[in-house]
Amino acid sequence: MNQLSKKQLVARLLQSFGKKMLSSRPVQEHETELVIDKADLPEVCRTLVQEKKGRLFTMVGNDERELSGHFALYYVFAFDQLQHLITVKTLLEEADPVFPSISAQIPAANWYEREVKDLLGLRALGHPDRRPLILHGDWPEDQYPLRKDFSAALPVSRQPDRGTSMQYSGRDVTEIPVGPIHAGIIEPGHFRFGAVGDTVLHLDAKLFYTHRGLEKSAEGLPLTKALFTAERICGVCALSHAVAFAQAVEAAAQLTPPPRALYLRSLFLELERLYNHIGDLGNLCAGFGFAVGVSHGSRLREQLQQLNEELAGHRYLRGVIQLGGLRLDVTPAELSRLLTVLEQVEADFDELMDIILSHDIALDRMATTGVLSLQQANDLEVVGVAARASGRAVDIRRSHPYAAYGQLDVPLVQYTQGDVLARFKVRAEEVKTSLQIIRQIVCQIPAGAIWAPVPEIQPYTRAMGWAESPRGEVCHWLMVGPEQTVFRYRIRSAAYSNWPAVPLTVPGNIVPDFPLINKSFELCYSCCDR
Amino acid sequence: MKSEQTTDIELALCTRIKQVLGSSLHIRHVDAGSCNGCDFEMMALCNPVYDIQRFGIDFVASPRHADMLLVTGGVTRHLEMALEKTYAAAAAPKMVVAVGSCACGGGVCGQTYANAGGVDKIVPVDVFVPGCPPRPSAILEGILLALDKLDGSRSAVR
Amino acid sequence: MFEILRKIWRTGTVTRRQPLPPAAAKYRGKIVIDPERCNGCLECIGICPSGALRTNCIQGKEQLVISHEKCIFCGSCADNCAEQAIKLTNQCYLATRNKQEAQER
Repeated sequence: MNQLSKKQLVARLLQSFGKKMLSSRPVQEHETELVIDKADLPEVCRTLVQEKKGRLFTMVGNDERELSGHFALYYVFAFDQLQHLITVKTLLEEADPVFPSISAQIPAANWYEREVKDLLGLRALGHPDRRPLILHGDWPEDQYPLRKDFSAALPVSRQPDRGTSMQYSGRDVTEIPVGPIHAGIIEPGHFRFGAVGDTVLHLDAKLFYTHRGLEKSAEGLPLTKALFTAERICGVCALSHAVAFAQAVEAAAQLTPPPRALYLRSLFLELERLYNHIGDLGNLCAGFGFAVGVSHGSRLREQLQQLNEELAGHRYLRGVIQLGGLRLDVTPAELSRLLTVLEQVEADFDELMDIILSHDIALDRMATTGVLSLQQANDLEVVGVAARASGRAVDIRRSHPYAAYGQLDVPLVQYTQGDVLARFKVRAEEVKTSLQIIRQIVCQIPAGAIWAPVPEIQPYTRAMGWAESPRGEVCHWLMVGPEQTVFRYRIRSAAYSNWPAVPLTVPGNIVPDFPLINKSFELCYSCCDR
Repeated sequence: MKSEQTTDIELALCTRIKQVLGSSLHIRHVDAGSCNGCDFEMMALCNPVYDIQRFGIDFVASPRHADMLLVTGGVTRHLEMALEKTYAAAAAPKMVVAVGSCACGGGVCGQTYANAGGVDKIVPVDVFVPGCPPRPSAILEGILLALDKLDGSRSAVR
Repeated sequence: MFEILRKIWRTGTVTRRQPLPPAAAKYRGKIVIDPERCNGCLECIGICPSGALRTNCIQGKEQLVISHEKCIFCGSCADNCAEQAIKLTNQCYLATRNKQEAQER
């Protein structure tokens, strides 16, 4: 699609809003912002999603009282066909911080709207679920940590718990509470099953136990330091988050890093995907007690993480990214070593997949378990492996290319069944495509600098960065403050988009299948909770 | 595990565990708000490469079965109570090992409205294992160090 | 079944005999400060993202010290030290019984 027709298409899309659109302006190369009155929110958002086929990319609440005297809400919609983002902005008065909810028409907005209530005190009128989300029931109702006048130094008292978990009652219905401290080495979350016998009727997941307040602690930090915060949002998606943050900063500074840096970013991103996918595939076998799969999977993952340590000095690839490029280069010798190791790993991995996928018990447990329908996936704007296993073709490496993905052939892996087996197969095939991509990168990688200085950024410039993490796309929304610091930083991870879908896939399955279903999504809690 | 040559550390680890806790050390992992890097490194200890079970060390499902708590993360507001309860539930004498920068000193998150900034602010800690995240073998070293600790004067008290 | 056994047989033993092997050469581990080289500009303290560097009075002299329990091993201080007084080593075994020890070294 050439640039002109894209511009025309975007313009035509905006025209349909007529007088509702108070103003519009291009923000970055790939983004247009339109300002509307808050009363028009439901209709404009509904039109963008249902008629224009946009998908809700992220939603951000921002305390801009010191800039304009208002709170602001930004709804970002991605148009994959156009490779364009449209941001709907609306201002809320300080005295009347309410806005109409769009969750009834766009279910994916559910969590975003609850989040701005918890953290900024902006209330969505008509929201179907008024329970707190991020801050649990013992948080005082009149304290909003992301408001600029919230004092981080003061300790916040604990209120009597307003009980935010589901209660199950009725004849033969058993309530099974699990967590937040679980039996295995996994992250904390509280799950409540309403079950009849072995069959689950309903599942309620209470998350955000690992909410550390990273978005608040990043505010005011110099951008160079905030990069380290971004790297520590999540352990296993560390690189994707670092890349997304660096891209947001570079977009704000209108800087394109040198080509070699872009290729190396893609290389490391694929290495991150590889160790995650292979480890997750092995770990999935633990869901049906197949120890051979677990052992081989974790052995291969270990081999890849040792390779990471050799190449980048870190098993989780932290410290690779720098604003404007990369911190470390890879020598030709290291590249050939990389290819040798990956060749071994690939042969080993193929054998393992043959064993698992020809094992009747494995297939029996995975097939038809934990089905996520395409309708559910679309409604909740599910991303990543889970989306592609349900026939939803979202892969941000293809739709909004970043790093060097525009120059690389990135095949789309897609299944339609939406069950555990489909998610297993998507991962297995993505391991193969990742290996292909790495080989392309090694052939094509240009020589040259790996870093360019970041020019000064005007205060209150905002920009976005994104990356396809092993679990799906992550999106970082950044507003730069005075003196190259962070004014507002909103992290929307793949887990945040996908967690609401997990409880939908469990009813009808037996309780012992939950660990398997959960492992097939393999979502991080820390990414989601921040 | 058959061994032709037993290394010094292997020997030291096995003898300490045997002396202190019979032939087994049971560990309960507590995620108190980590980024999951430390958790995955702990999981890696169970993979065939590190194979922590060969030393008689294993991860158990309940703190009631545990001699040691491996705590990761800087203790978030929502997990403070869970950590306290887990600590109370573990059988004495119990050891606490704080794994990773967040657990040791708050790390990059530091102290926020939702993060306490260190495990030792909530429960007593025997050993600190710095690293972001520490390598699996560094966590193993921390466990070994904690086992030496139990021999000291505090063992009678706790 | 046969395939599984063959795979196990072919893979052989992967368990490391030495449980505490050294880290890779590039690994960012323990940070060592050379007090002779340090010119006291203290730029590193401002750069450190986790506040692990500070000054301490050792033998009547203000010296730069690192708290390894706070350090996130990013290496920013070493990258930015003009005098190359801060060096990263690949030493990863830093477990300690008391925090004071982690702070003073």
